Amino acid sequence: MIEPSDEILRVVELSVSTKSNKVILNNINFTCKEREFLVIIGKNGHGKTTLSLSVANLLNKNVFNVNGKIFFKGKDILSLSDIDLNLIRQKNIGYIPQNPFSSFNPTKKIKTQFEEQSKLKNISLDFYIELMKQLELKNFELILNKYPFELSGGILQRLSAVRCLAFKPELIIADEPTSALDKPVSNLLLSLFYKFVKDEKKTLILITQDLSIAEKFADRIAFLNSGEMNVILNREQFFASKDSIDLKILLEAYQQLKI
Amino acid sequence: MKSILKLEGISFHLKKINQTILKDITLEIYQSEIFGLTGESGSGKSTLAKIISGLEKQTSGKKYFYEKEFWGVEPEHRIQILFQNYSASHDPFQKIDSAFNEILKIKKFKTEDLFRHKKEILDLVGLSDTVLSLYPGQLSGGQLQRLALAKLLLLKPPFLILDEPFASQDFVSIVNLIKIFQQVNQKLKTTFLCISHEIPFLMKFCDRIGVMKDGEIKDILTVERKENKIEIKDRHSDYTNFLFQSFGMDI
Repeated sequence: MIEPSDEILRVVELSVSTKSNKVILNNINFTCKEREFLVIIGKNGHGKTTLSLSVANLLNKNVFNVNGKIFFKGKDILSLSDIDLNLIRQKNIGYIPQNPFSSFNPTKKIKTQFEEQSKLKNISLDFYIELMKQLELKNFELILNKYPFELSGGILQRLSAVRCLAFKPELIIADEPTSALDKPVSNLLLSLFYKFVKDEKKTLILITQDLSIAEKFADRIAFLNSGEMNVILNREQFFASKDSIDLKILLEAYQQLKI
Repeated sequence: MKSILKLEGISFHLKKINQTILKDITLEIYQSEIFGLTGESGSGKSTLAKIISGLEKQTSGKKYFYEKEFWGVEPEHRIQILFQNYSASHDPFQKIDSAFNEILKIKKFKTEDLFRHKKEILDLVGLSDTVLSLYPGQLSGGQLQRLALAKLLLLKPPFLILDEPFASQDFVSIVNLIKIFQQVNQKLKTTFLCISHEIPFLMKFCDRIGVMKDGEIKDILTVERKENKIEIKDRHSDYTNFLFQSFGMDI
């Protein structure tokens, strides 16, 4: 297959089901380019998180059947060996999980965890602090010397974004990264993401329920409904889309709630 | 306007970490109004709700319900709260009908009126009476939230606190929820105190909105709704302006 040079990710016929044959994702196809901000919209329980996990190849193979192909810069990450996969995860793909509490090591201070990563990836700790300052974490010294369980969900969520942005991966997959943040901080984080995508020529896949985020930042928007992704459109087209009844209902609700 | 809840100089201080969470809060909420409370995380919104409901005791200050002072929990349980973690308010091994009956024992209903009353409340929150024969595990998240609301409404409390009712709900459910709150407010004359980050949603159905920051109520804004136009004309602080601007609103 000949790949256009700026294509980062190509998902081909991805299907995920549980071992008991419950279908979660059904025949998903999409591509992602360099400098693209892709937002995936969907309701609760329609497979958003499963999709994000499978793109990073993080699904537990003992629980899920994963079929299809996911090409990251031409390499099928579903068929890579563990060593190659770890290399890609270390350098190229960043993942920001939905639950910030479970993504830090509870036995180590934040500072230790950042230092471990910074040594491995050759980044100075100051860069982490710089990012923390940009996200309104001004008392960074205090925060760095705490254990994850001593911090609130909002702070941990920002730290987990900092940890991911710091090593500048080519692709970031962010699963509801602003769910515990209030609006001013959420806007800060999203603008940081936006700058990351546009200035550093990276790619971001953001998963959310919040259409207002999509309206403000997305290049393209995909609508995930009962495990199927039939609608994936440019921002302007998406908000005028009449392709799916469920999407129409969602968009109407969104317009009603707008001030 | 008749006052339903009055707070006078409520302060809350945590000795352990020597931090003042609430500073001298004075607030009056009127009968059958919908009062919204917003502010950044950590500004003390939830603590205030806990103090009103009696789950926490204030360090100083007084609470009045219908002009009568009370301490801790309101003695006739007329203040109820819909928790953010609504799924925890159901017993997974108890059928919904039986849970309803348990609540209704408090108010002695005649047996023949029981079902009618349950149906009336379920209608109000948009659930069919077939749910009565189910277990909570058989319902979806949105339905469980409405069920939790129905349980609270069974006793028709005059004052209801909603703690982040819109968190992790999709837009379709939110539109639906707002309609339900408005209906309950009109039919049962329930007074609401709704805590939420999401100012646009509050603007849709609240009569007044209080803005909190660092344990103080900075502003109380009156929302004026006239034919698809929602406006706020009160004078307000820079902080409130900043908060509204983060949602793309100029007031």
